[in-house]
Amino acid sequence: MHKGMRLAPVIVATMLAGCAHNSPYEPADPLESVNRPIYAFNQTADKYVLRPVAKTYVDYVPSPVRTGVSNFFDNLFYPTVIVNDALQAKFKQSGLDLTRFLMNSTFGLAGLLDPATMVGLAKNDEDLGQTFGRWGVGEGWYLMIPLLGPSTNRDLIGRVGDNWTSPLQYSDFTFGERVAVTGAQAVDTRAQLLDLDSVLDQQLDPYVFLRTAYLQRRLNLVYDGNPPAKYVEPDLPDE
Amino acid sequence: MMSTTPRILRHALLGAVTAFGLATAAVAAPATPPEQVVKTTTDTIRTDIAANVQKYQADKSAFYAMVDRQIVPHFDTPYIAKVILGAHLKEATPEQIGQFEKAFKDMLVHSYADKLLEYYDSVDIQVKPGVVTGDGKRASVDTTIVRKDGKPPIPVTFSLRDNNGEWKVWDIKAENISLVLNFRTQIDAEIKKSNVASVIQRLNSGQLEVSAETEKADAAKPQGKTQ
Repeated sequence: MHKGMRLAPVIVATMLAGCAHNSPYEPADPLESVNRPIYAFNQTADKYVLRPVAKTYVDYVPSPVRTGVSNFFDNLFYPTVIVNDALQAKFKQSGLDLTRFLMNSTFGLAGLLDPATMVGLAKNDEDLGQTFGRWGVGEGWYLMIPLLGPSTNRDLIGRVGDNWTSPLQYSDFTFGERVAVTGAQAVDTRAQLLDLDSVLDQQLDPYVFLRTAYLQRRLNLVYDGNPPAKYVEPDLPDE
Repeated sequence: MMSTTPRILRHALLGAVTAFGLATAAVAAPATPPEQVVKTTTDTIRTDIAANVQKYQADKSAFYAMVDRQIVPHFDTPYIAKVILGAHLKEATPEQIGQFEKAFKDMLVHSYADKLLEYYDSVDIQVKPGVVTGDGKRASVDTTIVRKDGKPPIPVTFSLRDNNGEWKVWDIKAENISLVLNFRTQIDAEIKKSNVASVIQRLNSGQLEVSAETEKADAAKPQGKTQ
């Protein structure tokens, strides 16, 4: 094994240990002066590329087909959820999610349909960033990644780690084919977020809004909908 | 024997004081349950918009007046203003807090008017029973916004507080993403760049308003801003 490869886990562990806990209201954003231009770049890229494509997709592809596509991608990347359930010691949920995955992959025609939800196996949202959070790793700095959008130190490492559970890693797709799948998935995701454009437009400072919303959402996911009050609410006035 | 009478008296007094205290507390507890406040308010405005949608689209000021009359009284706007000012509350004079409260409320009402007029009929709101917490002074009401186009429902939680015997809304959360606390971080950033007075002035003059990147918002704002 290459020397650097052996050192990598140590480096990652050190980086994670250094991630501090912050409230979404007092975020650590030391890279704001870099993040803002990247955000502006992402917004421009979105305005001229991703958003028009997503809008065309919504305008021309009927809703049931789009639902099928969303289901397909959800199911394709669902092994990540199953593995992270287990890593968070949610073994029962992991078993249920495995059942969900098997059911949708077979009866659900490779994931296009979602019979599992109909029988009460609801979709869960877990990833490695949440797993780190579950075991006490703080989110660290807020980051804006070119083309990928908001993240944090912790979630970025999680995102890289989640590649281990991505089926794309184990397919014999060429680079071009992988780009195509990722692009299609991006359009699918973006199409679901079109409704939120107006929300972002209705903010005094969209950058700050997105930062708070992203951090709140991640906190909510880490604690499965019940984040501790000390992170959710700042000190409120008595009167 | 002699000491019995004062003791009984003392117990009676204590009892009376306790009873009085409980009675006061009972009077102070809001008569209308929190979920009722949320349900009545949402129902009233949807009925009102349905009846007057064309009038409101033609005359926004009539719509703003209705919002001030029907919605605003159910919101604890002084408290919301204080929460949003947050750490800057100490820098602000009571007059400034009042001015900020009004400026911020108007900015929100004006910003969301179009959305309300557009979407009032495309959703159904299911209101669940409220949960009272924190010494009976706070409550939260979970609701589900069911979209008629079949898209996934959105869970929305209303946070209320007891304001002189009435439940008033002070925050709205969608999947634990809080509207008020989100504006708090944005206003905080603006105040840090200047000061409270300047932020109030800019809110009032429309300089500090929701950014307008969509085509529709652009059309709604024909003149360029001064400065």
